[in-house]
Amino acid sequence: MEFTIFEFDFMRNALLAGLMVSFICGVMGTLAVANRLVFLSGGIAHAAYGGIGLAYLLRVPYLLGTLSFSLLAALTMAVVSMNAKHRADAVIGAIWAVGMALGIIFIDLAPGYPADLMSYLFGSILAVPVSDLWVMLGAAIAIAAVAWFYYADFLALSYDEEFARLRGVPVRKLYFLLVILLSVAVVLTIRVVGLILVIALLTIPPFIAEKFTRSLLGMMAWSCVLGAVFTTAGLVLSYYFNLTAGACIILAAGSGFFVALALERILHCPRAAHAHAAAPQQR
Amino acid sequence: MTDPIIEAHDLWFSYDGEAVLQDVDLRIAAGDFVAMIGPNGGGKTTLLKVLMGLLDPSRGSVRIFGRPPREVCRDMGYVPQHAAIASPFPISVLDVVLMGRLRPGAKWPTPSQAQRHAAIEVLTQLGVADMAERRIGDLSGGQRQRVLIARALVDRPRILFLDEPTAGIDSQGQMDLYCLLEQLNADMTIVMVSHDLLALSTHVKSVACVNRQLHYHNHPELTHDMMEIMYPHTPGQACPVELVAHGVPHRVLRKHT
Repeated sequence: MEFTIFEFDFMRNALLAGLMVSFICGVMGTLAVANRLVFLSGGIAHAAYGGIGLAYLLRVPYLLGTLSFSLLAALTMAVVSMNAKHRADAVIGAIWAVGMALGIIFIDLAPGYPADLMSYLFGSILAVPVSDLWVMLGAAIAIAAVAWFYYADFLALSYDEEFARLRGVPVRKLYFLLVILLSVAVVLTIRVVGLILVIALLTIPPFIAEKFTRSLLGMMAWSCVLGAVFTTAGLVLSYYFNLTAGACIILAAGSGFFVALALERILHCPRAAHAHAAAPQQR
Repeated sequence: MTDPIIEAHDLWFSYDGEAVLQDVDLRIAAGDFVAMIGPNGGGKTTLLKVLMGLLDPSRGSVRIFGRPPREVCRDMGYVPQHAAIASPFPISVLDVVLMGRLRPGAKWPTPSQAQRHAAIEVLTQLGVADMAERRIGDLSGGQRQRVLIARALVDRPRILFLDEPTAGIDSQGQMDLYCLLEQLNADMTIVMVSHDLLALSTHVKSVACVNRQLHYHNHPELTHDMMEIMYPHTPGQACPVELVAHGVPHRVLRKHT
C-alpha cells in the first residue's frame, strides 16, 4: 500500500488539526478526569449546539458563535454546580438539553437550506479551514502555558481541594479558569470529532494514561501521545476504508481503551494478589 | 494559662438552616494537646474547619495568633481523614508531601532541590522515606496516614489539626501515632478530633467535648456531666462505665458517686 495519504492538502490539515486537538485534549482531559468534570464537559459539548445554531442563524463565524455560547453555558453550569454541589448533575443535564434544543430551533429559524447537522454531530476534520488551525495552535499554546504555570495549584486542587484552600491556593478562580479552558478545548474538539464524540477524546486517553503513571504531568504527557496515535490511526483508517473520520478516531481510541483494560488485568494481577495477601496483616 | 493562640468567640454555624454549632467559646493555649470528642454529627469536624478558616461561621469570630485564620494559614498544618481522599489518583508520595509547601502565586511543575530535601527529611522522620517515589494509592492506610502527617508538618506549622487520625488504623499503629503526636507536641500545639476515648487517657492534655455546644475542660478527664451531654443514654441509665487505660491505671471517668 502506497503511503500517499498526506499528499493532499486537506489530509495534511486534518492531521495537523488532529494532533493539536490531541494535545489540547490530553492536557484538559487529564484535568477534567482528575477533577470529575467529565459530565460537565459533556454538558458543554451538547450545549455548544445552541451556539452552532446561533452562529448559523446570525451568519457569524462558527468559532465565534459556538465559543461564546459554550462559555456562557459552561460558566452557568460552574456557578450553579458550585452552589448546589449535590444537584450539580441535574443542573448540568438541564442545560445540556436546553442548549441542544435551542440549537435546533435556531437552525429551524434560519432562512434557506438547513445546515448539515451531521458535520457538527460527528465532526468535519477533513474540512477544517486553515484559519481554524491557527486558532487551535493559539489555544494549544495558551493551555500549555496555563497548565505549566499553575501546575502545582491544579495538582493540589485536583487531589485535595480543602488542603489547597488551606495553603492559600485561589481554588475558586482556578476552578473557573479550568471550566473556561475546558470550553475552549471542547469547542475546538467538536471540529474534529463532533459534539457527540468529544467526551471520548477528552476522557479515553487520560483514563488509559492514569493507569500507568505516577504523576498528573505524566498523565497529561501520555494522554497527548495516546490522543495523537488515536487521531492519526483513525484518519488513516477513514482514508483507506472511506469511513467517517470522527467515528474512526473514536473507534481507534475505544480499541485502545479495551486493550489497556486487558493489559492492566495481565500486568497488575500479581500485585493485586499480593496486596490481598498483605491486607489481613495491616488490619 | 498562657495567652491563648486559638480563640473563638460566640461561634455559630448552620448548615442548611440547621445549627451545627451554637455559641461556642474556645481558648486554646500554646503547647496544648486538645482532643475534641463528641457524638457523630455533633459538629467536631465542623468546628475544626471553622477554626482553620475553611468554613465561615454564620456568627462569631475566630482568631489564630490574634489574626483571622486565613492570614496565618502557613502556621497551620492539617491532616484530614485519610479515607476521605481519592486513592486512585496518580500522585507520588513525594508530590503529596510537597503540596504542604505550596505558596500562593505561580509555580512550576518541578520543585527545587531544597523543597525535595525538606520533604524527604520529614518523610524520614515519619519512617516512610523509602516510599517517596511510590504512588500514594498503593500504600496501606497506616502508611498513607503518615504521608498526610508529613504533608502537614513539612512547612513547620505551629499548630497541627488532625481529623480522626486513628480511624481505620490498627491498635499498634494507633499507639505509634499517639507517641509521635506526643513528641511533636513538644514544639507545637495539637488539636485533634477523635472518637477514641483511649486516646484521652495517656496522651492528651485537654478534652473538648462538642455536641453542638462546647464543653471544654482542661484536664484529660471525662466527667459524668460530659458523658451525659455526649451520649445522653449511656451512663447512669445503661450501666456505669469505667474506662481504664491500657497498662497504666489511669481513670478517664471520675468515680461514680
